[in-house]
Amino acid sequence: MLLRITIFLSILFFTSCKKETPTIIPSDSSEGSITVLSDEFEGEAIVVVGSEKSNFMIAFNRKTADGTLLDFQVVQRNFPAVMKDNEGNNWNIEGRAIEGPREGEQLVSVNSYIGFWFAWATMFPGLNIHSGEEHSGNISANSPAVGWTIPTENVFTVLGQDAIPAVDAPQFETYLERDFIEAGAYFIEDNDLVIVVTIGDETKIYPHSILNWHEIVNDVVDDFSYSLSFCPITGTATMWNRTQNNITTTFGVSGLLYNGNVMPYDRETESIWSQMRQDCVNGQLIEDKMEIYQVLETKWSTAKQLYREPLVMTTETGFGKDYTVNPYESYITDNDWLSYPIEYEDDRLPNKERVLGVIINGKAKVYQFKNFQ
Amino acid sequence: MPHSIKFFLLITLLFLAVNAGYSQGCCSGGTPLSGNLDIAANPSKTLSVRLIYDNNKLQDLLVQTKELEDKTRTRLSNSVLLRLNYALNKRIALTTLFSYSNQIENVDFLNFSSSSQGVGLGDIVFFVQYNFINSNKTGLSTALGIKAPTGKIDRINEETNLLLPPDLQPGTGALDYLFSSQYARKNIADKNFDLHAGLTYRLTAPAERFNNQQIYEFGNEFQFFTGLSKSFYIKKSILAPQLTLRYRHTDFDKTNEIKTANTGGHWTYLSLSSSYTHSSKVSFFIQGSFPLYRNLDGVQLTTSYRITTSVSYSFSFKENLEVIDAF
Repeated sequence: MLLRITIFLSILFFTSCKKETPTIIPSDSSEGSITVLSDEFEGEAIVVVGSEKSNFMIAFNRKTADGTLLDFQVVQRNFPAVMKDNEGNNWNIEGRAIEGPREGEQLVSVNSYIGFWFAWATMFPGLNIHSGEEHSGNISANSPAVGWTIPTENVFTVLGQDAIPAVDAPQFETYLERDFIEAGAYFIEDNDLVIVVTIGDETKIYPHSILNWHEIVNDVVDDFSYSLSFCPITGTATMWNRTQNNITTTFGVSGLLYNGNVMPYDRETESIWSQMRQDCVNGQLIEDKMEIYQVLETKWSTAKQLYREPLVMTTETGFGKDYTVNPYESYITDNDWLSYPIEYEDDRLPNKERVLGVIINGKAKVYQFKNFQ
Repeated sequence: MPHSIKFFLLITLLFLAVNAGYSQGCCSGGTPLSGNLDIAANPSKTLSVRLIYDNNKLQDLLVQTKELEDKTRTRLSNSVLLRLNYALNKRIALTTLFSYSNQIENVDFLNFSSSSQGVGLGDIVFFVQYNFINSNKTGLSTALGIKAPTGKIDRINEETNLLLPPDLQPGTGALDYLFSSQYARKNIADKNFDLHAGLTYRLTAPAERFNNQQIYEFGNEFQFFTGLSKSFYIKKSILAPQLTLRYRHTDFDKTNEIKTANTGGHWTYLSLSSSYTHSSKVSFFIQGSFPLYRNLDGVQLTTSYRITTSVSYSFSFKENLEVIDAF
């Protein structure tokens, strides 16, 4: 089943060479300049493409599935192409070759996602900052608690299980810009952040304004069942396969936070997972890993330029929430306010700066938007 | 205009000014200690024993001032309080307040339901009261006291072995300081009404939890109330319905000195109540409180309504010191 699925910029641990028709629309793009960074981390050759103005950063492996190491250069103002390689291929933001000898091929994605600096710093103490200050100082870690793979001193019970309700039957509408231009304002504003998931030919947009209230959406496309989670406290969005050991489950919000980060629980075994660690930390499935898929986080104006008629999650969730209100608004804008204690603080960057973290071999490195101006 | 009416209007205006001046603020669970201090003056050498039952239903989910339609979470807080007050003389009285609470929070939507429960003896309040004025017509009292951390703060979720949230614990774990002042004036507005007004301030302290690795501090709490009552004499008994406006403000809670999200706020309640004094010794009280205005920080589950009932019995040692044996 997994080979049938090309989730956005490819499946993390798999390579799909399926030639899918890109769903990206041509555009002369007035968006800001794109930057491509070639780098090495933990022995892996990676490329990070991003734009501060367009508000995205995303990482891929520079080595293709057939073992070829590619060199990338930026392509400006020629959406959907964002970079080209030394073989003459043009690649889009999903890491898919849209022109050239490798057309239709997919780059291997890198385990990476955007989040607040403080969250990356406490989950991966002493991590590297690209072109940034080296870490100094001692790092002391607490020992895992009995029955857990993490120390529980920084696990806080904030609410009861499911007090923040996950959405299990999300509703979508096709976004047709002309309709909304005629009808007036859309419920997502241009600078609002959204999470983009592409599976095959289907692109789904999950607005932060909805995720803020639910944190987890259990969704399915064709036969592929997945959970998308967003933690408003750490600003991190990840997506994983919710079919494990041939059992498809749903995930809910446990009400626990570890270092401020949401801890989903699976409703099949009630095991508790860590979103940022991407593994099970307590319960029957302890030490199991999540099968992670890469998602794109960007602003709505960028997403609607990139995708023709995407499916946008609607506010018809079945819950009486007010999606025009961001309950975390003051939290996000206050750099000094962490809301919940964390295990390790690192002042090399402002706490709430959004950075792209790349995880390889259990180690992390972050990239700042200033690297992509 | 009679002096007492002017005084009532002044207090009301002061209340409105204070209410308008604050911005936002906190969660609403816990044992209702501050709201049950009641420092009305009693006759000297009198032991007053009051048993209080408090039922607080929290089902209103608010974002700042806006109530959401979401009713998937409900918290029921049932508390029993025992209040002992002994008036040493006309001026000084000692009061202690014991509590036992049972709080259960249910989440129920679609096919999912869960519940968390915190049960146990709560903190104990002890305070000394001084009556500046204790006449048949006017009462003015002030009290200073402490809330001792006798209640449990280590109740856990048995499935995860993790601590329940602080506001589901029976106690706060901290030694808090209390200040209260109360004014009562009888026979205002041509002897038709009695006036009561008062304020309470709770200065909180941090409490260590989880092998001292977590320090939680509830926000300081301020309450102000004012109201009118009318006494009806029925043979030897007195029925006194009353209307009270109550304002409550709490600061943010803090976790390890960090401001805790979704805590703190402003609440204004209207309380309808009635006391029934059967004799000089026995009285009953029932009160329903309903929210009028709330401005809370972030998203909070808060009180939909609150019912408080109590029964009191007074023992006078002035006349017969042996009466306590009967109790």
